[in-house]
Amino acid sequence: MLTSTERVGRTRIRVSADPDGGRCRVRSAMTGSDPSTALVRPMVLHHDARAARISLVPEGALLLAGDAIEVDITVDAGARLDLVEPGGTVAFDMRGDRARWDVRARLGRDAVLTWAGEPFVVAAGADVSRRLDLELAAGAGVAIRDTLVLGRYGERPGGMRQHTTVAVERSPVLVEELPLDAATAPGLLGGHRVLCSVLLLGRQLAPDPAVPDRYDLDAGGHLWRRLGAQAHQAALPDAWRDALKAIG
Amino acid sequence: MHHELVLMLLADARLPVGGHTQSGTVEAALAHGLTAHDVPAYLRTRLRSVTLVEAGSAVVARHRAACGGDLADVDVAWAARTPSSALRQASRGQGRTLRRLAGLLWPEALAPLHDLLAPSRATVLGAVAAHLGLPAGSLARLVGYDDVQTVCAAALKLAPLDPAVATGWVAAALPEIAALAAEVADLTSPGEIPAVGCPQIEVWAQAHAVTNRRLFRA
Repeated sequence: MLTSTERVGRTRIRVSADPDGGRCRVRSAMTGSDPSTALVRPMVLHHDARAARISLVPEGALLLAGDAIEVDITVDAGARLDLVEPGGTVAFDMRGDRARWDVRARLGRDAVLTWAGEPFVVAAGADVSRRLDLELAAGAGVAIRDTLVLGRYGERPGGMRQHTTVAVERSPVLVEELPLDAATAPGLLGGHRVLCSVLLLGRQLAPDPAVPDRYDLDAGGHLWRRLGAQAHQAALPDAWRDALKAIG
Repeated sequence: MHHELVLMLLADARLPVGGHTQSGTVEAALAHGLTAHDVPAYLRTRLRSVTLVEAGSAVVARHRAACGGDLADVDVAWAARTPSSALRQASRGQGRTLRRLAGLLWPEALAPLHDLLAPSRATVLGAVAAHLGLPAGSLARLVGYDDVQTVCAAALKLAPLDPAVATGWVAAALPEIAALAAEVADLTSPGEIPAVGCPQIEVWAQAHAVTNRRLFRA
C-alpha cells in the first residue's frame, strides 16, 4: 500500500458538542508528509450549538500519482457535522503509479454526519484505492452521497478499488469491495460508466417496493443505487432529499 | 462417508432443494438486455463477485461449525456483504429447503444453526459440509459449480440453445471455479470473507423480485 513515492496528506476533523450548550467545538488539523503534498483543507462555513458545516477544499491539484489523502473524522456524542465539497475530484492518468483516498469516520452516540459528495472521476490510466470506513455508536445517523464516474466523457475507465465498511455498534452493516477497471466494469456495472449512491444509516424508513433503487440493508439503514451512462441518468436527487429528511 | 460421494450428492441437480426454481439472476439479465452470447462473461462476473461472497461465507461457516463455534456472526457478515434484499431472500429460501432436507437426513448437522431464524444457503451448506466431512476446497468448488450450472440450466430454458453449448460454457468456467476455491478455501473468520459486490446483478435481482413475468423465483 505504501510506496516510497507516496505523499501523505492527512486531514483530521473533530466536532464535539459544548457541554454548556454553546457553539459546538470544531478542531481540525492538516499535515503533509512533504511540502509538495496535496492536501484537503477543512473550511468551516458555519457552526452553531447544533452543528458544524465544513467544506473540504482541495489545495493543489488532486488526485495525482503518489497522492495519499487521509481524512479522519470524529463526531462526538450528540454533535453534528455537515460536509460539502466545492467541486468534484478527478483522479488523473498515473502512468503506472497509484494513489489512494481513505476516509475514516467515527460517530459517537446520537451523533450525525452528512456528506454531500461531488462526483469522483477516474480518468483512463488512473489507479486509485478509495476506502470508506464508518463506525457508528447507537443512535448515530449518517447520510452520504457519492457519484463515481469511470472515465471522463468518451474515455476508457481508469482503475479503482472502492472498499466500504460500515459497522454499527461494532457489528457489520455493509461491507463491499468494487474492483473496477476496464476489464471488470462491463460485468460489475453492466457497461455503465456512472454509479450514484446514497447511503443512509441509523435511520429506518418504511418498506416501499415502489422504490426500485433502494436497498434495505439487513441490519438496518438503506442504500440507494443507480447506474447510468451519464451522471444525470444515474442521479438520485429524491433519495438524497429523503435521506436528509430522515436524518432530521 | 467418502467426501467425493458427499460432493456428488450435494452437487446433483436431483437433490430435492428446489434448485430448478433458481436462475442465478440470469432470467432478469436476459430480460434486461443480456444476450445468450454474453452468458460466459456473466458467469465470470458472478464467480468474481456474488458467488465469491457465497463461497467464502460457506467456507467460514464450515470452519466454525467444525470447531463447534457459533454461526450467527458468519450469517451477519454474509448479510452485510449482500445489500440486495432480493438476493438475501433468494439465498434464505434455498437455505430453508436445504435445512429441511438436512433435518430429515442429518439432524445433528443443524446443531450450529439452532439460534438462526433464516440463515443463508451458504451458512446452512457450511454446517452440512462440516457434519459430512466435506473439505473446505471441495465446498467452495461445489458453490462455484452449482452457481455456474444453475445459470446455464436456466439459460437453456429461457433462450433457444443447444444443450451442448451450455455444457461447453460450464466446462469453460471450470478453471474460474478452481480459482475461486483457491481464493477462499483457507478462510476461517467472518471478517475475511470476500466482499466483492456486483451493482448490476443487484439491480437486476431487485427488478426480478417485483415482476410477475418470470419462470424462476430468482
